[in-house]
Amino acid sequence: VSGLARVQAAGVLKWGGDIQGGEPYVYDDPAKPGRLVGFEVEIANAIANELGVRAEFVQNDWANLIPSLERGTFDVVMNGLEVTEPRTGRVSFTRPYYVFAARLMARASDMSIKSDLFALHGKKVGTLANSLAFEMLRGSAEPVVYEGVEEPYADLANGRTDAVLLDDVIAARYGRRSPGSASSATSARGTTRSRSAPATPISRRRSTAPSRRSPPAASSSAFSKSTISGTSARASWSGGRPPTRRR
Amino acid sequence: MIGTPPPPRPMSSGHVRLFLEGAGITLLVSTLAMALAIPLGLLLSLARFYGGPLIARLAGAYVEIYRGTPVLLQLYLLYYGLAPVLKLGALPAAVIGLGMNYAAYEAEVYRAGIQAVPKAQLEAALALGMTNRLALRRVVLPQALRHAIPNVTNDFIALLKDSSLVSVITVVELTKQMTITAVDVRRWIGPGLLCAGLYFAMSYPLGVIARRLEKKLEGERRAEEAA
Repeated sequence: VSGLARVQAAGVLKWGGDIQGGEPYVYDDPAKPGRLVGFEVEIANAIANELGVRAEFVQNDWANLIPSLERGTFDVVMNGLEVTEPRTGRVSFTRPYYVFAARLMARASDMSIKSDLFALHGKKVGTLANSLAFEMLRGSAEPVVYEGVEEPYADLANGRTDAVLLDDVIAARYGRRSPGSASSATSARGTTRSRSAPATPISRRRSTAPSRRSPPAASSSAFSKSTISGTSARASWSGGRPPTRRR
Repeated sequence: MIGTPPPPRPMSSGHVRLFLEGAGITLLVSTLAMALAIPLGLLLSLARFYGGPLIARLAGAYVEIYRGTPVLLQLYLLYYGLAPVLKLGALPAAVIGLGMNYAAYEAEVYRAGIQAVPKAQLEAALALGMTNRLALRRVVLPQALRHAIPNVTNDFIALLKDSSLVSVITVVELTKQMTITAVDVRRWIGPGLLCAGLYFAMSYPLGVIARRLEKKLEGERRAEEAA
């Protein structure tokens, strides 16, 4: 049974993500906690509409999204999951719907951190477990791994680490520490480019590993057919339809 | 492209409702896990005493393995490791994972309870012509379980808090809800205190019950000794 047939038979597209520190991807509506908002919510609803099913969000710790996808907890992952070599061997990605940059942040007062990953040797750099930023740090810095995206910045401001490497969108949302507050201010030191895309498990045959730009493997063609590029362009940043949330 | 993010909003009554829902999941998972741990633990302790050498050894190995490894690891193995052969849902996996772990502790509690019943009582029951099984059911177990009650209650309190671990297998319980909200509102103290208050509201009554049972038990024991 193909993934598409399964989803259509069930009438539900289950998509996995982590709402802890999920701004602006997927998170609790501040005005109405329990209702989810975010641009990924809108993309998920748009894909579900295209398939004639309903989208259902499934909460899952970010670091374990791929294992949960593989065991079938949900049909698809969409949560800023970066397209990386090790992952393309395990799951198939659609075309990227989001381009981001990894941003290195340090305390504003600490001038020893330069805009160069290789100059981080021996420095403690906070990041998210299993993220692309974590892969980038291995071999140069001493990565300090967190399960959430706000805690690394708190530890940086409090002096427990020397820098934080995470996506720019995360840095913009969670990396701000005002100079007036008890903790020290943080500032950006450098950025790199990368992409993230929805992923589906590779079922039956492991076709040619999809490259970053090529269409995804057969099992996930349903999701590419709903044209991520087109849908994401249409998805407004207005709140969209309230999704259901499995708890 | 990123723009200036809106300032975080403070906690609202909507968050409190989510916390209460999380507490409900915590209570549900803990209660069901304990409901599994109690009979399984009893079975294990009986197997260790009366199961014959092989079964007793297997039951002993179960207890040692489950007590000797982290419950977090057990949850990961149950949910992800066994997935190719056993695809449990998140909630059943949480209940079974915690229940099987706590069964090992319950088995030890009942073992202590059974040992606390003087051997002479079993011998007397057998001398009166009871079968082993009947003597166990009518004489040994009622007293052993009474001895065990305070410890079982204590374990349930511990289980309430250990149930926070099941968030790693996608169950959103009270502690996970707290971390989600704390990051949303950029504050840990408020959500943390609310979370702590809810755990306390669940565990304190249990603690009171445990103390009362202990006192009652102590009174009965003294009455028995005086008689």
